[in-house]
Amino acid sequence: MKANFLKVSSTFLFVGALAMMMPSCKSAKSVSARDTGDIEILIPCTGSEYQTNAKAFRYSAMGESMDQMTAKKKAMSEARAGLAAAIGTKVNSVFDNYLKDVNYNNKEELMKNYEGITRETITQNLSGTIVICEKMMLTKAGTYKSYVCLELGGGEILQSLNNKMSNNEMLKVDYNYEKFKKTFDEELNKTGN
Amino acid sequence: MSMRRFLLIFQGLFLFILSSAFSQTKLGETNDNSSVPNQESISSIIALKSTLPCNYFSNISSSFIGVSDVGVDSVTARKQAYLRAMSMIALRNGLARGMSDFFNDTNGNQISSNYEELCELKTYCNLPVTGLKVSDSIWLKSGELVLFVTLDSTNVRRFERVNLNSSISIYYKENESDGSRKIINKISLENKLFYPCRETGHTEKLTYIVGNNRWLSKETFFDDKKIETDRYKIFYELLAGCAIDSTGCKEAGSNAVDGLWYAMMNNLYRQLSAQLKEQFVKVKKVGDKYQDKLVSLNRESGYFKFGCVLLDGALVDNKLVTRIKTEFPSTK
Repeated sequence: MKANFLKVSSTFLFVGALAMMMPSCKSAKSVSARDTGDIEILIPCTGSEYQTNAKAFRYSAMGESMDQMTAKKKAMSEARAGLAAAIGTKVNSVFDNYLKDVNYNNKEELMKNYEGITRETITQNLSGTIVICEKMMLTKAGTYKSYVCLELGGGEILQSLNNKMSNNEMLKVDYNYEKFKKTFDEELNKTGN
Repeated sequence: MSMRRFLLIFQGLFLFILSSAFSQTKLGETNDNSSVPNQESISSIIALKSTLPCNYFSNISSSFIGVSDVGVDSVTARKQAYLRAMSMIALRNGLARGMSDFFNDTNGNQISSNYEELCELKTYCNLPVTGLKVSDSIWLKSGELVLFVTLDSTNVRRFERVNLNSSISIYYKENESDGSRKIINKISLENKLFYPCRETGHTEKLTYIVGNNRWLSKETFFDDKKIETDRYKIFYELLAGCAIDSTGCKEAGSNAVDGLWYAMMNNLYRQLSAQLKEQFVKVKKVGDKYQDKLVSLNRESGYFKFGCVLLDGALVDNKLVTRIKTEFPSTK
């Protein structure tokens, strides 16, 4: 009877020890994020599909407010301003590269004209933006968080720039659309695919 | 004997504290007179319960609604509701200009921001008097008159026309600093109705200010006469069995405790300003970023034509929401 009891208890002890050893058999390479204590933070309207690429400018932003509508207004304001700044930088870069390749007698005067056109184009083109992502969250504190991502197609900006440059008396003489389009495409391709 | 004296002194002290507290509130010398009504106003507040019929919201899509204030005589109520319904017609043809500033100062976890926005709208309509037909009218239990006006193009006689000009200003400010948020929303509107042939008309001026989602003040003048509505607190409910879509009512609805028209206008103009904001296409940004500190100012502005119609609405827990459709024809 005693021997039987010892046999059963030793079997339980063996199985228990085996069970305790099992996690240690796991490969060191497959340590999950949960084991390390890291938590993945998911931010709405962000990620690869919401980033600027060769086809379109994109900008994600967040706005927080006690009021649902104002949260969205703030997010839209940030996104629009960010988009305007990104387009401004890119278009200026296009102009710089374009001007390097062409010869003008009065380059300084021409630069001033270009700057004016860029600014005007950005303010006009922002009316064609589309919201490609929109999420509204209610926080524990009772405030609203609005996440948005705006998009503006590169083609629309190019079209607008082309119209401005074609109509400008000073630029009309030497403006070469095909050359400018090539520079524009090159610059946008640098951003990504 | 000493106990009696003690009681007398205690009674005297109590009366002194009570009288001084009363005189302070009566003079309105409280720190926050917006949230603490004085003794006089508490005693004169009249709570009313009102029921909206099922067709209240369904009629909105097929006609133009106008609601009078509570506590006005029937003649004034009719004029007021008619003028307000006309102002809804005028909303189909408007011109807007607006600007918003969003300042943000982030230093580590400390955030200080200021959002300010102003929208100014001008709306206008000129219609034949006989082409306007009151299709339905309802007297609510609360004493408000609801008129539904339709445009009848078959009954149009020449020379009898009526004009309505509206000027609307929607101001919104939200300030965040030291972890606290303050919101001010001010809506001012002026409606001028004029019959050129009769050389008569009516004017209405409304101003209401909402702070942190609570009414701070509201004023209505009809034909230069102030309408007292402050003492009424109204609780609305829909007639049992009405099927309405109450989506978004609790989150985005406006408190109707101060009257149906105030809630409708507050909700409509706040929504309209949000839609107009999408048309602020001129963008300016100034920013500064170094280490943990980020300071930026975004300015947006716009000038454009718009047309707005009320589609329908909903009411849940005395919160009213309106659904609108806004179009933006190109502005030259």
